[in-house]
Amino acid sequence: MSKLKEAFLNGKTLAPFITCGDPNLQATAASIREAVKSGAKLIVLGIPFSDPTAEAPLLQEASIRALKGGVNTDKVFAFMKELRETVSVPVVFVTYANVVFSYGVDRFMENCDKSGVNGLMIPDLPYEERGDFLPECKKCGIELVTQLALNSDNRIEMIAKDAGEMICLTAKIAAGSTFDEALTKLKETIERIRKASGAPCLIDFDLDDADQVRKVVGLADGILISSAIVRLQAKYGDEASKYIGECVEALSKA
Amino acid sequence: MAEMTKGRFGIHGGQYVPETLMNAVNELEKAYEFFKNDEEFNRELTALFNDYAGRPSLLYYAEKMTKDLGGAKIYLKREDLNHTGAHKINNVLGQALLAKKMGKKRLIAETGAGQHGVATATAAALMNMECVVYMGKEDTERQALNVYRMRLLGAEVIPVTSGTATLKDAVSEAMREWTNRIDDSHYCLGSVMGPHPFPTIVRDFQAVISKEARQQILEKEGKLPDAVLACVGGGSNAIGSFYHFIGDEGVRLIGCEAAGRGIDTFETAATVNTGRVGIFHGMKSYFCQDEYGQIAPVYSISAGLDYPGIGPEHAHLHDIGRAQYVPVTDDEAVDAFEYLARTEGIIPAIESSHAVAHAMKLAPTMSKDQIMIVTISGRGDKDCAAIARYRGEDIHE
Repeated sequence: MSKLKEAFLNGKTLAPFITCGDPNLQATAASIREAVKSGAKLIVLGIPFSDPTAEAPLLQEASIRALKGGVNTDKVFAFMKELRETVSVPVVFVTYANVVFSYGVDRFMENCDKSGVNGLMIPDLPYEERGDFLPECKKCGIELVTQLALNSDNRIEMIAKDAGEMICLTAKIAAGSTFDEALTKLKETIERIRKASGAPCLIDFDLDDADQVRKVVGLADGILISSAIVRLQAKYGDEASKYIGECVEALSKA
Repeated sequence: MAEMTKGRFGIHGGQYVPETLMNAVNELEKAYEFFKNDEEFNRELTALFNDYAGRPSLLYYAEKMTKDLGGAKIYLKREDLNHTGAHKINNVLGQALLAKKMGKKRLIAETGAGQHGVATATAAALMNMECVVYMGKEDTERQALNVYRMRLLGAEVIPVTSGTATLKDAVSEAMREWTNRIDDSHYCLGSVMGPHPFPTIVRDFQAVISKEARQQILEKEGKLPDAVLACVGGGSNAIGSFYHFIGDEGVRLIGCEAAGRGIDTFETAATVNTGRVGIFHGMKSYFCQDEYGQIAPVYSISAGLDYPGIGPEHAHLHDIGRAQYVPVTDDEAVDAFEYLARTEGIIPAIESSHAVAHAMKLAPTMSKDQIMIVTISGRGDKDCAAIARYRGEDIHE
């Protein structure tokens, strides 16, 4: 069984998103350790990009803090290699197409493999363009995470049927809409995904309310927690790991 | 496989957008494929061009400039005479009409100098649509008068504070907003960039520039020009100026990039001259970036050319050698701004002044029986205060 699949064994998966190097690599290491200790079964680690257009400005600020702190792709790989000596949960990298492309797709995937990364998610790489990266991912055994959204509609089956070991479904409350409406749409979408694919489905939904998290997690295999973590990191900086641990623990129990 | 995907110009272009936007770009592509061949759509657009925007724009023989430089015969394609004072209106009228046909009630747009924002606000007022314009906070300060113009036209202007608070951040913010309001909003992108189908749509609406210019020069001179020059940021007036000449092999196509303080400095926006191939804002193309692919904070005196990328069709024209992209510095552009004002009584936009500057270098190297067309993409009234300050005068709008 692949390492990534381990993230989805034994109940629901809580996956914190942590921007690597925000504000420095020591803080990131501490946050990851606390998150794992508090029940995180998958770490989603962001390689900072100057202009993350798919993300909220809050996440862009985290990226910019990390870049200002001096992190770069080489340092992230070195960090990851060292992290693997003490942390064994699966890790998925999230970064933008240009970070991978600019590094050299081959070289990027080889380094992912060497440093113990299990998957890669590229928000600005839709299904149709995945051919730029997929062959190299496969060659190195790195899962290119399949991405779907609440507004994928007629695209769901086409994309889900080709999914590998993990699907990430981006959800949000549309303008002028409510959480309950989003939840209904989420339920329909997941039912359609399930019919087309057996891959575990992680939901990327910007939530920090335990009750809402429970309702969302109940529909799928896990949830990605991003803004709540990034906000704590922004607020507490070097001291954030403790608060991130508490946040993961509270939401794990939800 | 990459070559097989949609909207490619050689290796460039494509649709590198989040899944949340894929249905929106697909819907737009489908609508455009239908309406571009729709007689009624084209009739309405032509009427808007002619009766509202003031097309066709003049092709003006710059006799004094020609004699002064002592080489090629210089014609100016006067997009500065369009309604709202720039070529931007061509694209905006096309997209607003398309959006209206698609049943959208709201236009969102990014703007750098404010020209595209003003044009979008204008079209929205005309067509009774809501309009929201994203503009880097720094640019709202540099171009305060244009912010007022947009508000006067009924648009809401949202200052963008993320990233470097300039044009690229305004594009990012407009893209984000589009994902939130796909149902009722059309993203009226201002240049030949972004994901497919934008580079094609914007090119087609701007191609009216070269369609007219080709016909006008044949009428006036009985032959094609030897060179066509235009300034390039994202590249919409340039691709519009080049398009109907691409098949004419004898016509040199020259894009003039903003070199800022020089291509050997970090304060530059000359994408082809200093950038590398990358993937950003929905497209594969050339971008100013560091060794790890982080997008570089670019600089130019011209807020309209202050963008770290270039449209994918230009990237391709560069790759195959069909067009040439030359750097022009702030200093050269400011000299050209003043030169054209004094010589021809025409105040060009600081963006267009980059093309004028290169024309001033190139014309004397050409013979008197040769012809060049320089596109004056916009008028320079908006730049007067900034140029005065550049020359050390204490003038504020």
